[in-house]
Amino acid sequence: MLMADRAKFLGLVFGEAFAALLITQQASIFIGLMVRTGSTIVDAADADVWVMDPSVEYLDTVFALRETDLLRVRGVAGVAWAAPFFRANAPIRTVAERGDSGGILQGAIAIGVDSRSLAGLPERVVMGSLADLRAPDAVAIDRAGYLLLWPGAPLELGRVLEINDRRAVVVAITDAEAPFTTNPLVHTRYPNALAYTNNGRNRLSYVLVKAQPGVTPKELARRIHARTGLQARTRGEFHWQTVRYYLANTGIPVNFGTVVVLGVLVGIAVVGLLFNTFVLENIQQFAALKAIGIPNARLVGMVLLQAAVVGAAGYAFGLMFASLFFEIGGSTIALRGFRLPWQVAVVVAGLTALIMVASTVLGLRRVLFVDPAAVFRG
Amino acid sequence: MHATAIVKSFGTGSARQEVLRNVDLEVERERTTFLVGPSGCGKKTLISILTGLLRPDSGDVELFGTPILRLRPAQLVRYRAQNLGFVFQQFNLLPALDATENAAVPLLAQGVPARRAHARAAELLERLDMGPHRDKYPRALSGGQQQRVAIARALVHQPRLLVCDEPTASLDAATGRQVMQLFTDLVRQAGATAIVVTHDNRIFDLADRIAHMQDGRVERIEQSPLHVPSQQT
Repeated sequence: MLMADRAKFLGLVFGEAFAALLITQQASIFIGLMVRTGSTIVDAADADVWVMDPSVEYLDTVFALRETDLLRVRGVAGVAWAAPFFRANAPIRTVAERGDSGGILQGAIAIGVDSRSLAGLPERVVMGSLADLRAPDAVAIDRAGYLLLWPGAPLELGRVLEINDRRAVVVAITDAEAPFTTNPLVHTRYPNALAYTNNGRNRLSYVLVKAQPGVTPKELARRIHARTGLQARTRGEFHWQTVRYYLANTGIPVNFGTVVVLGVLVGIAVVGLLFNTFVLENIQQFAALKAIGIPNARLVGMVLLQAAVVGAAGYAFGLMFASLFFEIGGSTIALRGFRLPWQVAVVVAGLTALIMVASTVLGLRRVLFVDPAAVFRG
Repeated sequence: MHATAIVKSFGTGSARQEVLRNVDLEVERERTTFLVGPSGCGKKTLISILTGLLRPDSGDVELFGTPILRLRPAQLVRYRAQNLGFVFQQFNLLPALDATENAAVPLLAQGVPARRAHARAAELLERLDMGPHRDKYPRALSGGQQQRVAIARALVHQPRLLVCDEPTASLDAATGRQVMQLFTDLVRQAGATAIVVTHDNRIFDLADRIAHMQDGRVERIEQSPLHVPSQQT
C-alpha cells in the first residue's frame, strides 16, 4: 500500500535515512574524538602499564615525576622493562630550504622516548626508519603534521625544522593516531625532547612499563602502586580515564548528545507525521479490509511490515551515506582517524527501529480502531 | 436472512437522531435484493448492521441460521471472511497489488496458498472479461475495470451473501449497467444471495426484489416484474 504511494514512501525513507545519517555521523565523530583524547596511549602500543604522578587525571595534564621514580619502577617484581616517556607542547617552525620560504608555525606535541629502547613510538611508519632517531637532532613527524607544515609538498626525509629555536631533522614520517587537536606529533629521543621544551627541573612525564610474561598488566599496575605510591594504570585503564575526564569536564558529550537526541526527535516527528498521513489517506482501504474479514492482527502486521521496510531502507541509506562521509572525509587531515564503529551501526539500528515504532504508534492506533462500517460512509 | 426490529440511533441528548426505526427485513436466499431510497433514509446503516459491521441499539440479525450479533468479535470477523463478499462504492482496491492479487485478497486472508488463490482470482477475472488486464495495477485501470476487479474480489471465496454498495455511482450509465448485468449473472450462477444498495433506478430491472426505504423504515418490498422467485427462506 505504501510502496504504491511513491512520494510518501520516498519521503519516509528520506526522513529515516536523514535521522540515521545524522545520528551515525555525530555518534561516530563523538567516539572518534574521545578515542583521540588518548591517541598517544594508543600509539605507545608496546607499553602495558603507564606510571604517573598520583595527581594526574588524564593524559594531557602532566605533573612531572622525578628521574629516580624510573629506577623505583624498574625495581618492582614483574617489570620486564620500564622506559621514560616525555610529552609536552612545543612551538615548531619550518625554515627556508629546498625552495620553501619556511616560517610556517604550529603548536606541536613533542614526545620523547627512551634513547636505547625507543619504547613508546607509533608502530606505523610511512617513510624512513625509526631507528634513525638515534642520530643527533633526529625527529619523526606524523604525516598529517608534515602536511600542515609543508602543505602540498611531497613527503621527503631530511627536511629541517626549528623546535623552540633548536634544529631538528625529519628522519621518519609516521602514521600516528590523530591527536585530539590536529597539532603535528613529533617523536624524538628523550634528551632531545627535554631540550626542545625546557620544562623545569623534573621533566619525566610518564614511565612506560612492559610486564614480564605471566604477569598481567593489571597485577603489575597494582604492584607498582603498592611499591612506589605512584599512580599506575594499564594502557586500557589510562585511555578510559582520559576519555572519562573529557566526558565529565567538557561540553562535548552534551553537544553531541543533543544532536543525537534531536536526530531521534526530528526522525520521529518527520517519519511519524508522514506515516500518520499515509494511514489517514488509506484509512478507507483499512476499513474495507476489516469489513472483508481481515483480522486486526493481520492489519497490524501489514502496517508493521511496511514500517519495517521503510526503517530498513532508511537505515541502509543513512549508514551508506555515513560510511561515504567517513570514507571520503577520512582522507582529510581534520577527519583522519574518524571511522564508523560497528557498535554505532548496531546502536543506530536500534534507534532507527525506535523511530519507526514510535512513528507508527499513532497510525497503528487508527488502523486498530477504524470502524469497518466507515467504508460505507465514504 | 432475517433482520428483526432493528433500531439504531446516533448522537446523544438533543443531537440524538434515530436512523433506523424498528426495521424488519427478510432477504430471500439465492435472490438479488435491491435496497433503494433517498439519501439519508438509513440504507447504509442498515447494510452495516446486516453484515455485522455495526451493532444496532436493539433488534436481531440472522444470516443463514447464524445470529451474527451474538457472535464474539473474532468469530464475527471469521464469519464475515467466510460468508460475505463486498463490493464498495469506491472499489477500495489496494494500490500496491495488481488486479489478480487484489481479487485474491479474501482467499489469502483465509490462508489459501497464494498460487491457488491467484489461479482462482485469474479465472474469475477471465469470466469478467478482465483477462488482458489482470496484471495491471488499479491506477492503470478504468473505473469499470476496477469495479470488475472489486466484483471478482467479492466472489472469489464463494461467499453466501454478497453486499454491493452503490455499484454504479462511480461509473457512466452504460458501463454501470454492463457491470451490474455481469454481477447479477455471476451471483445467479454462483447461487449466492445479494443485497445491492443503489439510487440508480436505471438498473432496478436487474433486481429480483426491491426493498424501498424511507425515513429509517422499509416502506414496501416489491418483486421485480422480470424475476419470479423460485425459493424463499
